[in-house]
Amino acid sequence: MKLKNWCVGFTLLGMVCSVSAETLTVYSAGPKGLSKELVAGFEKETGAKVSLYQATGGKIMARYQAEKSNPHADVMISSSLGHAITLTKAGELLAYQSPNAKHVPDFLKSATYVSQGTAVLAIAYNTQSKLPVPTTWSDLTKPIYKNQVTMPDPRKSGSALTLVEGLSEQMGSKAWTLFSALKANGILIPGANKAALNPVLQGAKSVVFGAVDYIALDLKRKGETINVVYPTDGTVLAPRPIMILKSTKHAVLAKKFVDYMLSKQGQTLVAKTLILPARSDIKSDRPGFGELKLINFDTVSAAAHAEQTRDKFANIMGQ
Amino acid sequence: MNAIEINNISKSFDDKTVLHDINLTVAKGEFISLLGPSGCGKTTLLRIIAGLELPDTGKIQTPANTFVDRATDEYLPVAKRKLSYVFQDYGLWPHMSVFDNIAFALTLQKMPKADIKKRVNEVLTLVKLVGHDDKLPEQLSGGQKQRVSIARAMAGSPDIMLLDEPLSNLDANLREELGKEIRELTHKQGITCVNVTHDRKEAQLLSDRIALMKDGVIHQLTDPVRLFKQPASKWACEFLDAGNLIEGHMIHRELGEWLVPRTAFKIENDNTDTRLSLHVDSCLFLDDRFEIAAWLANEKVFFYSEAPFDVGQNIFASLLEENLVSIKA
Amino acid sequence: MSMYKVGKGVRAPLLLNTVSVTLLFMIIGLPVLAIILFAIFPKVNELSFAAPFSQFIPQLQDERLIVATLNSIRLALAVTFSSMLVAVVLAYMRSKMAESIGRMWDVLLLIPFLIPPYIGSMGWMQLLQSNGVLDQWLNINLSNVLFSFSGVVFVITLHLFPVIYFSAASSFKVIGQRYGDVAKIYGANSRQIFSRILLPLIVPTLLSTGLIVFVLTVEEFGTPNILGSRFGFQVMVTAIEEKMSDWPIDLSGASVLSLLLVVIAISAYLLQMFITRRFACKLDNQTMTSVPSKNVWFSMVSNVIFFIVVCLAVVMPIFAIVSSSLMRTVSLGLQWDNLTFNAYTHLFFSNSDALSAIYTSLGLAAMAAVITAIIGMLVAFTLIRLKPRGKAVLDILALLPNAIPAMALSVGLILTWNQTFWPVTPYNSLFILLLAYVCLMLPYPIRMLSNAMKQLPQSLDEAAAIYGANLFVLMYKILFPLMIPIMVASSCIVFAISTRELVASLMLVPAGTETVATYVFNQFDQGSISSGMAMSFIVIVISGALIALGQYMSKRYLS
Repeated sequence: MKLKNWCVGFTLLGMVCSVSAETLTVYSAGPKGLSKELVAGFEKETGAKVSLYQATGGKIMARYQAEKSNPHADVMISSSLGHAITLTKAGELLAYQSPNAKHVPDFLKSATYVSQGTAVLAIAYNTQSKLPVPTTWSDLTKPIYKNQVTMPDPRKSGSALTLVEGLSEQMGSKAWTLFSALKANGILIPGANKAALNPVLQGAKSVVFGAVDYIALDLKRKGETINVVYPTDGTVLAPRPIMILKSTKHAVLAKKFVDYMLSKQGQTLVAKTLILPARSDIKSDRPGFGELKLINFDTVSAAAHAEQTRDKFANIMGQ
Repeated sequence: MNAIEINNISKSFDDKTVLHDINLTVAKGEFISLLGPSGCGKTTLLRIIAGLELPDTGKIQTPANTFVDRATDEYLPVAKRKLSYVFQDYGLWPHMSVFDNIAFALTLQKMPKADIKKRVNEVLTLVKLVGHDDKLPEQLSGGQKQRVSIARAMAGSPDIMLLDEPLSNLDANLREELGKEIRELTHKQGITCVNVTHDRKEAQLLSDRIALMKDGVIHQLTDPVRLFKQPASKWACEFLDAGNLIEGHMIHRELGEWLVPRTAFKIENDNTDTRLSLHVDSCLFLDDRFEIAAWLANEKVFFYSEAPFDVGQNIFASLLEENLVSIKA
Repeated sequence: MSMYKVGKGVRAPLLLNTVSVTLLFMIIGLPVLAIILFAIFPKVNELSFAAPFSQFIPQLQDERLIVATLNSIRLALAVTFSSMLVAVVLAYMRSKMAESIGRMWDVLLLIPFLIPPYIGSMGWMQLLQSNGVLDQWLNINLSNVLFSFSGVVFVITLHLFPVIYFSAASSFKVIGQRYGDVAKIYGANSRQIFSRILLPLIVPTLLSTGLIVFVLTVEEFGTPNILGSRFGFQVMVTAIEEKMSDWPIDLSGASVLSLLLVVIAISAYLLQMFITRRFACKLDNQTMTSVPSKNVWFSMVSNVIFFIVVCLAVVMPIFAIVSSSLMRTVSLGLQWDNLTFNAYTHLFFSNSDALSAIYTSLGLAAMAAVITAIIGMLVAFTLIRLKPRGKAVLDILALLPNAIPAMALSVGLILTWNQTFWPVTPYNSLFILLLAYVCLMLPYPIRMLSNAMKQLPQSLDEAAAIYGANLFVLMYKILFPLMIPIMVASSCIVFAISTRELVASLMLVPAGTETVATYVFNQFDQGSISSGMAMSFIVIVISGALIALGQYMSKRYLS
């Protein structure tokens, strides 16, 4: 008897679902505030409806993969460039060049994706720790930082992986010597980005090697005793790719959404979160492209042997 | 007319035969007991009558219904058999008051509330529990619980009542008292009863007839007096504790095994060559007479006596011939 | 019990059997099947059956996997034993306590169910790590103890022992005074009574709930992830999560590893069955109210021990949550001038998201509680009374949601319900969350209700049938009322866990909706730890109050 009611419930629900066919579905791995504001701005400007699924980069990709036989997502915003590379290779992305993308530097876009903005990998430190401020990556191998350094795990954080790839690309075998030295200096690799940052925030450790800069900058803005330095020997970016899925039934709307994200309004919203906006012509309260020394390397070819890179790193760290 | 006809019932559990081709008819208003040691199949037979188990073969019929017939695959669900059943562990629903327990079947039959109240009061009067209606089972003593269980069984004025060791959880005095009450009540109401017990006294107390069961078959079926006076086998004598089993020539009769009941001994003052010479081993005062254990040569015999004897005393006895029963092996 | 099996004209048992088997299969069987298929066919998510078994060898070759598997088993065994120890001691003391005080401790020990394990671990870290609260205030640095195998065991035990405690306490009640009194007459002292009489008698209960704790530990992610990764301690679930946490996502590989967990769980189940059979003995079915101990020392010691355990398992994590919610900044720590109520005022006055997340979660949790209780009752009845063929399969099926990581199960649910061939589907609506919660939580009511139903004498059912009740009347008038206390207890647990369930919520929440857990998660993700913690605390208080209310109402209803 109960069952019958449920069946009726499900039927009604199915009908509700099919009614909402003209909405754009966005899967986003971003700071929740930013995605919501972007969606609200877009809805206001175009009058379209957006339904937003918000989770981590891994979760949105997992959901997308699991849904493959009956896809729902039209647009995805990931926190890992790797996702965009994989999906491009698999031919699952719709090629699109937004007119607004002309202000975006080439290394932040391709035929199939464009970055919403990018995080910069940096050193974050607790200002209460009274340790000297490091200026290069290798500073952190000095005895004064013994047992004071944490780092996100490249197996759990795409940005940390990019950093390891970038450093080994630039420094060659010296990069691996650096990691061995860090290991000898008692570096702690407690998990993904948050897990690496928390002990430093709470004062149990002092420095993060390879912190996602905008998170630390935002915490600093909120009054946490934390600061960020960009190593003078160069660092890497962790771009946040926007992708339109080939399976979309709302390509026009999806393109509009990408346009909006790359518009001045959209990019200003990105800048507010202290993520470095993709467009170089947008001002923000944080170091811009001009103030950063970046390591240039072929992210696509690096991605091809990511597995070995991670294993090699894990071996050195004795994991 | 027969209230229950049981034909060719067999049942096995996991290749172990529990009932083997049972035939039994119970007359209307008759109180019959299935007596036997544990594992003899008596409870299974009762549960088959109730419909709680399904026989492998056979047929059970009442004048109104066919309860089960394996040949035609007929089966009347438990709930439709209109039986009543008294459980060994009472089977009272712990969350319901005495009243609700008794009224359960009546409520399901949609009897008007006032009639239910009247009927519950009637049966409570019968089992002498007036005023306990509001109590929960856990507030009652064992004897009271079984009375409630009987009241519940009587409430629907059933034709057939099945009883599964109804007295075994009670202490001796209560057992006798409640046993007598059950017998009186069921007789008065003309209810056909099938009772299961392993206790011969309980069977004697309650039954018009007793079916003595062994290894899944009815060993002997007769009235209580005959059963105890003339058990059909050595095993029956032993199980019923009917008296002494003595092998040999009994007075003028043939060689064989003889049942010598405890009442068959007559104490004599003189010693002739037909007298038995007994050496008293113990002397117990039971009910209103003495039970003497004594050595007859190197066999121990038991008999009743009006007068006590000293332990170690030598006495003489004769046997009352008409009481002796020849037992086939 | 063939009263339910007998032939012709008796369709109800068959119907009931079919209904509960179907429900179990639809709710648990389908997603599990989907995971198995995904493990075998790496492209099944695109409805392709290409390259079967191609994932098995590469996945199982990973040498870290052996270490992780052994670690999982070692951890689960350690947690199970220590939980049993704590639970048995407490349950024994509880059985000798006055009802009023005992009930208070019972309510307090329900709270660990409400606290997400990862928050508990974060709390312990905050307290014990270097520069933590204990270090700052008392100069005691216990970080080496916390970040060790025993530290992980300690934290998980504090979180899971209530699962055993509640069953053990009710078992002691059933066993009652009598067996102990008998032993006393034969000259046993209280320690001998406990170890020789009571303990063996509750072994079946201990094993059956110990199995749940074992399986829950194997599946536990938060604590090993947060504490274990600090000293390089990998378990199966962290290995599985790694495959789904960031780029590249390897769902099929995760499914293969999830199957390993299923194997471990089934082995544990079989072992438990084996041991239980050795201990099996039938208790007579009379419950006696146990008499509170009159020994003043004993009751004092009992209460002190309860107090200490409650401090560790309840007060400590709550303290951590509350203090974090009041901190203006994390880095300034627990100092007077760093405390503020901003997080709370923000939640209540300028945030409709938070309130709607609370409504969503409480509503879903309440529905999940009711539905799991009803389904649990049907399944328990089927398992215990109808005893269908293949009972062990149903039993194992009812255990699996505890064994498979919620993440993998969520993937299974998506694979199952996001298919175009269903005429209607709960997917992409709140119903999928409801379905997920029901699926994840069903093991609790099924276990608790089947254990309880085993204790009910068969004659109660038979009497009902004799006096004219059909199966539905039997359920409605006899079994439901008798099981209501257990149904309420299991519903409370389901409700508590559902209000905070994170992983499945995050994976399955329909676009545009939030639950409490995803809200808290997003707050943490944005670095607003205080507002995440404030939300957690408010929800713990609200659901705690609702649970207390539910128990109070059910007690009033019963008396």
